[in-house]
Amino acid sequence: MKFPKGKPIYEDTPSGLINLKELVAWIRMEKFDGVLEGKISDIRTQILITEGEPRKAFTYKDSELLLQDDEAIDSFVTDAMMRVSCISLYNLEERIIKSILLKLFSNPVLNGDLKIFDPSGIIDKCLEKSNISHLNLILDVNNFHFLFYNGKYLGYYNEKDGEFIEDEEKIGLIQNLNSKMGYLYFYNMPIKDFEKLKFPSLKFGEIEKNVDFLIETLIEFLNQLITTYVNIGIYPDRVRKIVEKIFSSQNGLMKDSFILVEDQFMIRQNVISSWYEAVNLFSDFIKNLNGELVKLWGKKLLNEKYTEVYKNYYEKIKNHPELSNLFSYLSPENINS
Amino acid sequence: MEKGLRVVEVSLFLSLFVVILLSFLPLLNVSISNQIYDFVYLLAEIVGLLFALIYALKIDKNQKLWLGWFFILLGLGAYFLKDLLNFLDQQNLSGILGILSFILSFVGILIFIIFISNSLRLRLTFNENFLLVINAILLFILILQVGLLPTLLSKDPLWDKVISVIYLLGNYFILVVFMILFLTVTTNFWGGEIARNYYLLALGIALLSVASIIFSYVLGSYELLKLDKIIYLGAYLVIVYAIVKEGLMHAV
Repeated sequence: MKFPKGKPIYEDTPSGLINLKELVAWIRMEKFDGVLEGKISDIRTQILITEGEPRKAFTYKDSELLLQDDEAIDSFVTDAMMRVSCISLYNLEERIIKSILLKLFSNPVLNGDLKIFDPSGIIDKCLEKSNISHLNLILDVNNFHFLFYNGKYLGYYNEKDGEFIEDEEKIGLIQNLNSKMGYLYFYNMPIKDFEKLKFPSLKFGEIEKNVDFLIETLIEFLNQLITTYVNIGIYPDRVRKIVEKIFSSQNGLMKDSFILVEDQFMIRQNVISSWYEAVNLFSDFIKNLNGELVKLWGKKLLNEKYTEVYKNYYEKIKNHPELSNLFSYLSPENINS
Repeated sequence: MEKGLRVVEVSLFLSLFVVILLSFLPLLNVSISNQIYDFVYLLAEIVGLLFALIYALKIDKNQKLWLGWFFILLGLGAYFLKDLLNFLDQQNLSGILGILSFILSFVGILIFIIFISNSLRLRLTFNENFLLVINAILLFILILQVGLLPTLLSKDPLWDKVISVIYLLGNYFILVVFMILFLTVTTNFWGGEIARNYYLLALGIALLSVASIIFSYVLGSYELLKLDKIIYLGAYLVIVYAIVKEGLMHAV
C-alpha cells in the first residue's frame, strides 16, 4: 500500500543536504505525524509515522512491493547515508493517518466486487458518528482510498499519484462507488475500539543502534548535575529525596536500565535501543528534576547552576560532532523553558 | 508535618492575641498590674523560643546556611533574656543583652549574605548595589536626625549616651544588612520556597529595628496601650515562625 502525499515540509531534496540523524531526532521529539519518503531512480520507500514512531514502511519499484517494515527502513537509511537518494517529508492530519492505520492493522468488514454492494448504504455506514472507516477500491490500475473519521468524510487519494483530494462535495466518492466496477475493501471500527489498538514501533535502522557510548556520556552528565545540585548545600537531603522520588516515578525503561546508588546513576543493563529514546529519557528526567527544584530554589538559582554544569560539560564534548548535537537537546533553553 | 505547623501557628497566634487583649484592657476600664502583663508577655516569648529551639534542631547541619540560623536563634535567646532581666529590674545588664541580641542577629544575616554571594556565586548587579548604597546613606541621615544628634546633644549621663549610640548604630547596621538580604533573596531565589523563610526572617528583624527606632526616638515616651510592646512581640514571633518554617524544610 502506498501512502498519500500530505503537506510537504520538503520535497525531493537530495539526501546529501539533509542531516538524517537530526531529522530522525526532530521527528521523534516533535511527535511528527506524516510520511517520510526516499526515492532512488524508480525505487521509492515510504515510511508512515505517527506520534514520531514509524509504524509501517514499504519499498516499491513502480507498483511492485520489494521490501517492508524494518528492511524497507534499512534500505531507506542506507541510501540516505550514501547520499544517493532524494528525501521528501509530508505532514498528514492525525485523522487521515488514523484511517490509514485502520486499513493497515485491521481486517476488512466486507470485501468483494463493488457491484454486489449498495453504495449509499456503505457511505451511510461510513458517515456514522464515533466510527472510523476506510474504503479501498481497486479499479484497474487505480487504487483509491476513501477516508472517514468520526462521521466525517476526509477525502481520498489514488495510489497512482498519491495526491490527496479533499473532495468536499463527495463527487469523487459517489462517482467511483456508483461506477459499480472494481473490487472493494471496507474497513470500519468504533473509535473507542480503534484507540485500544497497539501499533508496532519500528526503528530508524543504523541511526538508532549502538547507543552505549551515548548513554555513558549522558549518565556522566546527569551524575555531575546531581553532585552539583547536592553540593550547593541548600537542603541537600531534600534534593536527594527529590532525585529518588523522580527516579522511582520513571517508566520501566529508566528503571530497567539504571540504578541509583548514593546520588549516582549506574548502568544496570542497557535496554535503550535508540538515540531518540536515550535523549528523550534523560531530557524528561532532567526537566522533572529541575521542575521540582525550581519550586524550592527559584528560577534564577536553578538556571544558573544548570547552565554552569551544562557549559562545563559541553566544553568537554564540543569537538565530538555527534555528542555536541545530542547535547543541544539538553541545553538550558530547551530544558528550563 | 502539617499538623505540627498548625499547632505552632495557633500557639503563636494565641500568645500574641492574649498580649494584645491585656494591652487593650484599659479601654474597657479594667486594670491589671504591670507585673502580670510583663509575666504574660514573657510567657509568650518563652512559648516562641521553645518552638524555635525545637525546630532549629531539625535544621540539617550539612546545610551551609545552618550557621546563620544558629546565630539568629542565639539572637532570639539574647532578646528574651533582655526582656527577662528587664522584668527582674536589671536594667544595665538588660541593655547589654539587647545590644548582644542585635549583634547576633546581624552576624546571622551577614552569614546568609556571605554564603549566598560567595559559595553560591550569586552576586548583586552594579545597579542593585548602587540602590543599596543610596538607601543606606538616606537611612543614616534619617537616623542621624532622629536619634544620633538628639542623643549626643542631650544632657544624659555618658554611659546612657554610649548605650544609646551603640543601640542606634546597631539598629542602623541591622537595617542595612536587612536591605542587602532582602534584595539578594528577591533577586536570586524569586519564586522558590526557600525565599519565603528569608522574607519572614528579614521582615521580623527589620520590624524590630524600625519599631525600636520609632518608639524610642521618634515618639519618645509616648505610650499608648503598649503598642510598642505588641509590635516587638509580633516581630519576635515572626522570627520564631521563620525558624520553624526553616526547620520544617529539612524534615523530609
